[in-house]
Amino acid sequence: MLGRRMGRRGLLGAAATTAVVVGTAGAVSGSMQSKNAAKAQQVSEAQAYEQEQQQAQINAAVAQAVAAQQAAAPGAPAAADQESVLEQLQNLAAMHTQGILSDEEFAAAKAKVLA
Amino acid sequence: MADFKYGPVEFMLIGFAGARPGPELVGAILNLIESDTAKLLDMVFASRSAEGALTVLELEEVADEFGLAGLEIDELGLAGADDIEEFADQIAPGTSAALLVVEHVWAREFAAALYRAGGAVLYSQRIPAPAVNELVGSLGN
Repeated sequence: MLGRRMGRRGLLGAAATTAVVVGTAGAVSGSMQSKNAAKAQQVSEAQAYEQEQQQAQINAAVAQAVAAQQAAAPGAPAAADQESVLEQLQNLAAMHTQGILSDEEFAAAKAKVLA
Repeated sequence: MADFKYGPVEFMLIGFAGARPGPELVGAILNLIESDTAKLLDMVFASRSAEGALTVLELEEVADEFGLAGLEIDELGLAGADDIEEFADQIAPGTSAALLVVEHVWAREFAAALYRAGGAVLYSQRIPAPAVNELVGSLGN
């Protein structure tokens, strides 16, 4: 590359500086502007995706915690009020299948629900 | 600064497949140089390999090979390395591009007059010719 190109501000930089001076920084160049906007859009989409992933993890963790709490106290009034016996059994079975409850825990919880 | 030596200039990144421009593109560039309303101030070629590596080629390196020998360009090297890097982002792997710096000679006096009058171009947006032609064509009559 020619030495003249190196180690200095480019034309784009010159345009940006001039735009600041005359107060048109927001209107430097249509194509560059939309390119930068596209870059920003990509960044924010990536961030949104990351946040979605994190939220999904949090949701899963909360669901597990709630399930574990319900499993620990399956006969608790709040749970009993909201869930029919059938639903409680279905939930327990699901947690048992998912490995959240061991065989013993499942058996004990089931006995409490049916009691 | 009553008179401007240069009018506004525009970067144009002209993409083409492969490593070298075809004769039609070279012809178009040569016609531009002969034009009275526009002036080619600087030109550099850039090529991106299939693996994504960028090679920047100065006119003197490729003039003979590309059929551009004997060109006289006033401000060779006007585009900075930063400019080239910025535009090169647009070059897809396995393709090349010519980066032209074109002065709008028709706007040189206009720009000077605006400046003298205390005016300024607040915003300028160039609409690509295919878009204009398509829109006008769709309007009918």
